[in-house]
Formats: sequence, C-alpha cells, structure tokens
Amino acid sequence: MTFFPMTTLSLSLALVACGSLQAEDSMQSAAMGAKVFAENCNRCHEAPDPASRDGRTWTGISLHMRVFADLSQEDQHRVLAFLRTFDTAAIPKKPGVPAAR
Amino acid sequence: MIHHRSIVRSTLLLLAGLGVVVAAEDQQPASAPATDPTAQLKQRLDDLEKQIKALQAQVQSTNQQPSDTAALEARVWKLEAEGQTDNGYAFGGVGDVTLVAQKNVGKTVSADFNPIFIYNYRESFLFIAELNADENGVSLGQAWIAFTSLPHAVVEAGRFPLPFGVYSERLSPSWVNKFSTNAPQPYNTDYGIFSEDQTADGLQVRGDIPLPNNAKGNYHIFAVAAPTYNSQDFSDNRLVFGNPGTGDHVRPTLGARLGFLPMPTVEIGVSGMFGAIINQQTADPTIDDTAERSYHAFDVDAEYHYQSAVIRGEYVRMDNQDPTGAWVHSQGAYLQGSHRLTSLQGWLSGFEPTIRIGRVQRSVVDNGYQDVNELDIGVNYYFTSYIRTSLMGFDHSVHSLDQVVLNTTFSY
Repeated sequence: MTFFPMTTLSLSLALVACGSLQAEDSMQSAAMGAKVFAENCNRCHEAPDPASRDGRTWTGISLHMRVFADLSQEDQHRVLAFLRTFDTAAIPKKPGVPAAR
Repeated sequence: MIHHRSIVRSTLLLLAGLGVVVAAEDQQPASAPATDPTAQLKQRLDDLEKQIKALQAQVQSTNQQPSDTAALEARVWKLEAEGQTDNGYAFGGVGDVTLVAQKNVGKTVSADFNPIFIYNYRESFLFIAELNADENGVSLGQAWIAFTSLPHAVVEAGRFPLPFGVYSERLSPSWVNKFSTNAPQPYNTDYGIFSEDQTADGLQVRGDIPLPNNAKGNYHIFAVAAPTYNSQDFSDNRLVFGNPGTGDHVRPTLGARLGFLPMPTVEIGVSGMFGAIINQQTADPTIDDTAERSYHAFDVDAEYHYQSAVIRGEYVRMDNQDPTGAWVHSQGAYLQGSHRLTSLQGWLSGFEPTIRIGRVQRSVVDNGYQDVNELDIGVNYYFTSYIRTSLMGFDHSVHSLDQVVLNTTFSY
C-alpha cells in the first residue's frame, strides 16, 4: 500500500534534483563568466556596464571580444551567461518559462 | 471362511470409500470459497498482486505525462535560447573631438567618427565592419568574417587589424588607447616605424592555448597581402598594409604572434612577419619597380596589471629594402603606465594619470626623421566607461613635434 506514495516521492525528488543541478550549472557558468569578464575586459579598456545592452546584443559583442581577447569558446559562453544574468527579460532562466519578447 | 471373506469385503469397501472421499476432495472447484485459512491467504495475496500491478500501470501512466511535458518545455527553452543568438546584430562605434596645439603649426580642431557594425549568425559566424569617417572622407577601417564554432580557434578572413604586436589590434581605438588618438612611438604618424596602426587584407587563424596552473597562451598565424611604401615619391618609405597594390605577383606576408600569460595579470608576446613589398615608386624612372623588395619584422610586447594600474611596453624592429633595393633598419620601443584612481571616492575615481616614454631609431632619414625620443604625460577623466576626456602633453627631442592635446572620446 506504500508503493504509490513512495514512487511519487522518489520521482519528485529526482525531478527536484535534476532542476537543482541544472540551476547550479547555469549559476556556476555565470560566476565563472564574471571572473573571465573581470580578468579580460580591463586588460585593454574599461569594462562595460553589463546592464547596458540586452542579451541578444551581448552575443555578438561577446563573440567580437572572444576574437580580440583570444578567449576559448567555453569562456565566451561563460561571459555570455554572466552578461545575460543582467538581462532578465531576454532569456528564460529555467525550462518551461518562455522568454518575454 | 465366511468371517475371512467378510473381513476382506469390508476392507475393500473401506478402501473404496476412502478413495471416493479423496477423489471428491480433489475435484472441489477452485472458485469455491476456501475454508482453509492458508488457501484464503494465498488467494488474498494473488488478488493484492493483481491490484499492485494495476496501480503500477496507473502510476506509470500518470508520471509519463509530466515527463513528456518537461521534455517538451526543455526543447522549447532550448529553441528559445537558440533564437536569442540567431541572426543577432549590434551597432557600436567610437567618436572623437580633438584640439591640438603644436609648435609652428598652431591650433587645430578635428573630429572623427568610426561606426562599427557587428553581425553574428548564431554563435558560428561573426561579421565586423568599421568605417573611418573624418574631414578627409570615409574609408573602410576593417571588414572581416570569422568562423567561431571551434573551441580553441577562430578562422578570420577579410580586412582586419594586423596582429603584429598588440597596439594595432588591441589598443589603437582612441577610447582604448590611454593617449587617445596619439599612437605610441613605433606607430607615430610622423616618425614611427609604421606610419599608423595597421590593418591588412588576408586570412588568419587565432585562438587560445589552454595551459595548467591558471596560465594560458594565445596564438595568431596570418597570411596577408604585401605592404606598399607609404608614398610613391620616395619621401616616405615606411611600410603600409591594406593599401590596394598592383603587385599581384608579389608574395604575401606571412607572420605569427605567440602570447603567454603565466597569470591573468601578465602577458608576454612575441611576433614576427616577413614578405615582399609592392614597389610602386613612380617618381624616379631609374628605379626598377618590378624588382622584388623584401622585409622582415620582429616585435616583443609585455604588460602587467596591478589592480587598476597597467604597465605595458612594446619593442619593434624592422629590416626592409627601400625602393632602390638597399637594406635599411629601424627599431623603436615604448613603455607606458596608467593608473585609474579607483581607490578615491566619488567623482575623483574617474581620474587616470598616464605617462609614456619611447624612442625610435633608424639607419637612414625617413619622412624627414631619423632618431626621435618622446616623453608623454597626461590625465584622463572617465565620465563613464564610455566617455573620456584627456589632456596630454607630448615632448619630443625634435621640438617641432611637441604638442598639447585635448581630446574627448566616446564609444557606444
């Protein structure tokens, strides 16, 4: 008789665990992106205000800076993840929440 | 005998009776309610197992729906995220207003504006175009396309800043240069080894080199069209890249830069390039402009960051043939320091004092100059990260070059 609640509980825990892992990865990437941003932007010029542009614009600019600062693709993605945290409307933060356009 | 027979018959009847009873018990129907408690429990267990299987099927069916929904939502989210990077574009640029006061020349005011267009197709391709607009007209600063899908390499083709040393590529924009529109000595417009920062037409592969212990490296390998002399009348034989030349037969320039960052605050780079020169001298008919002229150049750059202070320097050496075929040599270097006073409070944190010393030496006079020393002192003020005003003084061993410059630059 305890099979059903136990199964439901296990499934819920698994889903919660998956969601937490995904959120942790995203936050970890953004945190590492902040470090890459701080280390590289100021090497040549004043670091721009991360909130000054939207997520879509930062994509092109981060690629531009990937080229000039010789960043790896992974670091460029991290920087972009960091910059997008300032653009709350542009990218859904978790699966199932559509982006505001 | 009769007694014996009756005993046998009674025994047979008893056995037959027992056999009927046993047969009757064996033939009892299964559906009939069991009177045996063990049988009842067994039947109850069977029924429960059937119910559990039914419940399991029901749970599985119930859980299947949110699982599918989550997968679908994740896919939508992925597509949304991809949509954010699809066909993105951005506008940027830099503008300057500059007041120059120079000995024997007087005061001049100039303005220029360099719009930059950035287009990316997803994260696979990047296109950059920059125009240079000033009082002399509009020219193409750079226009290149890059393939950016590789983890540690970018393939770039078109007209791009020459990755020889670091000034042309990284530091030449006025909002980046600590002395705004005034290039460091090896790139000085009047007497530098190059007449300005350089852009070149060609192909390059560049990227990062992952290294252990927080160190990293970077590399550039490039092949670009051959340079020309800065003038066609023998007055300025410094080399210029990116000019349209008619010497299609001339072999291209090949070069590379290798950078090493033992820690994030330190970078040391070494560059080299060599090739032929397009000889378009027309002023002197005795010069054979079909003969190949060659050059090779070498550069070392270094920079160190401590909090908001930066020290950087660069050494450039050039060996090239002049239009007559004679080899000439030039070398130059600069050392520059700047410190944004971020430790101060409020508006005072916008100040940034700067200093630069440099020298250029050459084996022959070129463009009227041979050996020049220079000391530059200035102060920048950042209204924001994008708007800066600079007041600078430039003192030269050739005093006619001395200048005081007031510049405001903005980027967006």
